[in-house]
Amino acid sequence: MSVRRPWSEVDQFLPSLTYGDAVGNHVLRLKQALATKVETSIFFESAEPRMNDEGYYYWEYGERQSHPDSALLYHLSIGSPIAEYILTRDEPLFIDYHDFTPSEYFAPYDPVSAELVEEGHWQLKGLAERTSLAWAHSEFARQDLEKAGYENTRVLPVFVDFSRFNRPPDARTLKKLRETKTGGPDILFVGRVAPNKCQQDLIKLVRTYSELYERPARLHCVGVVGSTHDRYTAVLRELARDLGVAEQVELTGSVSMSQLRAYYAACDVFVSMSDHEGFGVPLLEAMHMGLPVLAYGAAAVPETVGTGGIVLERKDFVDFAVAVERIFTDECVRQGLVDAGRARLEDFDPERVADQYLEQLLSTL
Amino acid sequence: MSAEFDLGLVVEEIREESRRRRAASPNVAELERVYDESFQRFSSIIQVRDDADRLRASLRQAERLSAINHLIPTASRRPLGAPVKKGIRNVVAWYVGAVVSQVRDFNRANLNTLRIIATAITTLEERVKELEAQIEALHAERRGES
Repeated sequence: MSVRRPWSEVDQFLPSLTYGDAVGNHVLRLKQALATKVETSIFFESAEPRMNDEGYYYWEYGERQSHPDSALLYHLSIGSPIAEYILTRDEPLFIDYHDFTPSEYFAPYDPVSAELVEEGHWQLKGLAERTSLAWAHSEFARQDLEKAGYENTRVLPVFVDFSRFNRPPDARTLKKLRETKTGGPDILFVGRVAPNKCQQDLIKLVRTYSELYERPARLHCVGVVGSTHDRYTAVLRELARDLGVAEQVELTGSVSMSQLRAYYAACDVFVSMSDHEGFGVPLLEAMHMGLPVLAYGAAAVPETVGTGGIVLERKDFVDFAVAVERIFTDECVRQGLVDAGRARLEDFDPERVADQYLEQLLSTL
Repeated sequence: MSAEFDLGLVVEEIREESRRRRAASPNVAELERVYDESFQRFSSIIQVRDDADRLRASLRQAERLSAINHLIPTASRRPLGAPVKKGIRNVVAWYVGAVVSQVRDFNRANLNTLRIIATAITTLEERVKELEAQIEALHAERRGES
């Protein structure tokens, strides 16, 4: 690949560097790619203690910048004082937009997050004029950039680090899941517990399935049960109790990579009923792990799933229950979806994504 | 990919089977309504409703952020930078740790003040609601007399 090198340093900024989350993984993988061409560091507003040594606080940037011809790459995912800081800088600016979940999903349960999203919208607009090039991770999200006044926009996939799964599944979790199977399908969803992910609809699906097929489906919602969404989590637990499926619904909270691997290995189908996904990394992880994917086609989900799984345009619980049953009982359909998922992953090859990023970034000015 | 597998056809078959199931079980639509109502019922009980509720939610956020620590990052681009920084961090820990401890105490005191204010607002809101109900009752009584 032939690229000009207008800068010697490209530094990444992001609000929060968190272990295992999609934005954090993306930033770390992009750092590896950038390091092959330029000096690069990560600057954040906050970091999980185990990620502390991956970067620096953003206010230290002025002292640490080692080249005068630097560029800034800001990963916008929520409102942050970093946006105001960046506006005080003169370096060329790139935006990597990770999509805002609409604040109305948070407002009823978590007004603080809702306000941060609103703040993020203002900051997205405020940075438009200063930005040389902005990326989104789906055409759906790219339209937000256009509406916010960005002129030079592109779509590139999120980096998905499949090598994280190159480890054996946690034997204890796997054994527990397999020994307690009920004869019905084990449905998996991976993602933090949040109102836009609509875990309530997965609970309703479990009940609908049990009604239609007279055997219990089990639901495993694997992902952080965040304290910011504790009200929503409480609603989910009450709903499961009220619908008589509390025993069939598991909200695991945060799990280790080997435990997550065990869930992917033991479950029968990955189902997403999210109303809003800016990309949907777990959809691809499921394909990588050989799990058939069934998803509601909202926001960027149809773009991400493509032909790698079943996308239903209507959120109809009977449709979903029938689809789960078909995948669970029809080996030909199950295997077809597994193969389709694996074929789909070729479009998200991290090496290819890295080359595209570098080419677009380094040739922009 | 297996030759027999046609994604579009499978989706169509699922839709057809779904239509058949719905026709065979007319109570399914009713069940969906019951599930939705159940979710709405719990959701409305627990939702953030007013400014006092927003204050409490914001307070929880402040509680989370108040737990500061002095273990700052020690990454470095320079050779030996990281171990040197770690060494410095350990050497000054007694000093910085003491300052951080005072800041934490101050945060805790501030949070406690905010908690008292939040509780007072809740009490006042409830009292206002009671008084509004009494006023409404008095108005109704007066209207009845006239």
